[in-house]
Amino acid sequence: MAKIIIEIINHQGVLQEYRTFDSFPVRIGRGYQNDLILYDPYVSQEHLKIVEDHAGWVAQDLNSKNGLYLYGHPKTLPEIHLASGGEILIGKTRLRLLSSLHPVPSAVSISTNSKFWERIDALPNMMGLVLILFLLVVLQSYFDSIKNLSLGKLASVAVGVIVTVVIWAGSWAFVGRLIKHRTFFCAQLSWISLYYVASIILFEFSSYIRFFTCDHMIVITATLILFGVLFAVLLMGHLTMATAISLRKQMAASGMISLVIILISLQFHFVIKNEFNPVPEFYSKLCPPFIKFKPARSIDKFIDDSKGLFVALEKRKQEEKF
Amino acid sequence: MIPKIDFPFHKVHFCPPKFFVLSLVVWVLIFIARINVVFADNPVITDEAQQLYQQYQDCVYQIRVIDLATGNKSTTGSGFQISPAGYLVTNYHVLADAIQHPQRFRVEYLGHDGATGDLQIRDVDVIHDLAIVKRDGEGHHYLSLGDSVLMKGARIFSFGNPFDLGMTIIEGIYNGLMEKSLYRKILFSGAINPGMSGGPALDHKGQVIGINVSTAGNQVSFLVPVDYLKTLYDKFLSRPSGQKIVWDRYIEQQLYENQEHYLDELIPSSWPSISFGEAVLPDAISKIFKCWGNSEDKDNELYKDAQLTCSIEDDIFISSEFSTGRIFYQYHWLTSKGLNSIRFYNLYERFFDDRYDFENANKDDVTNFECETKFVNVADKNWKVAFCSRQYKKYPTLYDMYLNMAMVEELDQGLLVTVYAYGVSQPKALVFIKKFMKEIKWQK
Repeated sequence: MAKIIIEIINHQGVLQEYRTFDSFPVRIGRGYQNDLILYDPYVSQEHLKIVEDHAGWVAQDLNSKNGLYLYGHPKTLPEIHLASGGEILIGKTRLRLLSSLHPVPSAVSISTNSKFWERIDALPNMMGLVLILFLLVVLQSYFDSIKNLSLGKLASVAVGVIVTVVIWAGSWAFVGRLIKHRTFFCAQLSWISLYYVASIILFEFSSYIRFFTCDHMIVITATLILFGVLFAVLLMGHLTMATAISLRKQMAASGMISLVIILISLQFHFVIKNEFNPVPEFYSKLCPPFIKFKPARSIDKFIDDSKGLFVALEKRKQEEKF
Repeated sequence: MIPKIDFPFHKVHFCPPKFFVLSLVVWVLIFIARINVVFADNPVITDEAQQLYQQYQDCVYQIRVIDLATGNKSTTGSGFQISPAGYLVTNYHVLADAIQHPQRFRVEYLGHDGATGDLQIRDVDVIHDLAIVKRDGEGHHYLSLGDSVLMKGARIFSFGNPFDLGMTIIEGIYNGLMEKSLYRKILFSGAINPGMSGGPALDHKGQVIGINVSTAGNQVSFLVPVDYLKTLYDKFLSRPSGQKIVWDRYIEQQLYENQEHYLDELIPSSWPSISFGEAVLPDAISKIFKCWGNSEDKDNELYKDAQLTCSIEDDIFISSEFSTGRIFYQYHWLTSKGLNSIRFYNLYERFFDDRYDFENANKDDVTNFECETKFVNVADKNWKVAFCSRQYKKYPTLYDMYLNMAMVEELDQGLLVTVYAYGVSQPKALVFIKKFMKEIKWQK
């Protein structure tokens, strides 16, 4: 059994190789007489040696030009005591010293171990979801149209959507191919279709809420937050299938991307807010009144309330002065 | 909108040689065409015009607004002297740039003999588009002010300098005061052209009966009745001399009083109504409004749209990019012809969300709109009402207002009522809009 394993990490933080040694001392440097020969111009010919002691190992500087550092510490040291997992820096190379008993994390499964992903990766399920999306988009364009369009025209919109989701899923499959050596194309396509279906349903069912909410800002804020969360969930799903990163990292990455998109749209809103606009902007959502109600607000009350508008204008004028 | 007839030199661009040749060809063609017209119409040149011109040419001037940065004229108009003390009259819109941006422009006159000199702006009436200016020196010839009411068909003569081509006199017919107009202009059947703004129109005795102001083309031209000039001049003379006028406040006051005046007449009067779809809505609410109806019922469309638009057609010119004073309202009655209610409401929403561009002003003149959307009970029906307003920056007591209402009571019918009011004060406009909403009724 090897007494020491040295992990060599280059200046870019990329792991280069593992070397095992059975006897001490281990001499490290750029010269060919060393036990471990390093290709790093900042390392001296005979840079250091590692010897055994009762608690682990000691790294001893051999009068090198650039010195010996404990990784993450600013000062050179003549001697460093290390246990398994300890890291030192010489020149621009990082060395991690490990004992053969050093624990490693359990292997990540290539096939995602959740039943859900397996199910949506099945071809019939994928076909079903894409078909549902297709029909939903056809239905949506039918309800949006004010003329009787032929089925072909309605379908052409849906075909466009399907092509888009196939390209999207394809790029994630490519990422999966690179990282996990498996594409999961069906699962990726099912997942984006599911997202699309959910968005359409959410959008259509929220139309009544948007109709009754007369405030532009509330509607926009709620939409941004809702779709931000939904988009983050979408990205997390894609990452689960295409990469092996932990749930926490997935959440961080997709959360950040959503947040950045929201922030960019907010920034855009604030940039154009005070731009001159000759068009009165109001929230104009109308929905068929399947449930009828009589508003309590009379004309007199409405006119009285509208004085708030002029207060808002006065405030806007003050803002624009600054 | 009726185009104003000052001549905006700053809008004339210099052309590269290729275009110059092309435009030369076009000019020659126009010239030939004009000769043909002259031979075809063979107008009678009366001695009267000749005599009037000889007699009064020295009372009429070209008015020039000079851009200080380039030293060249940016606008030209015409003007005439009305007193031995050196007071001249022209249109407000000729001088608008010089009033709005006194640091960028000055005003001068050019007499028939080629004499020039500076002019000081003394008084304006933005509502009727008049201005009084003062030249140095006294004792020159001047025109006396007559009466603006003549027999319809009377021959009148208008002076002016069209397109900076030189002083001209044109003969035309007096066709009475416009009935359907807020500011009662004289309808003059004669060809007033850009550059003639502010020139006098004389009767055969040589007395001023009106001031050239605008044209709708094809011999349809408009004059400001001389009565408004008399009122302005009397007011000007009664004001203590040396009193400095702050133009923004002065113009704001005129605009404010004008809208108070006509809304005060409009609001208490009883408004005629019209059946529109199943509703009863205000028709032309006074004779100054003109209404135009239109309905669409095409075979290939799945809806019917009947619309009515009523409008005051008078704009008040404040500067080349800023006009105000108009009120109009529009109705749409939409009915479904086979659209289910979800599809019909998508259509209805598109009509409701008609993004109307208020082009009458730009960012130096007005703030952005603020809007409020609410559900309101009008005529015992549920309506979604958007009410928007923006403030005038130089005249903060005045606003542009926009009321857009959609009835949301029926599954296959919709009624949109939209009211646009430019340059109104908050209290008066709110009373007007309240009355308008209360006039909406339903057929029993």
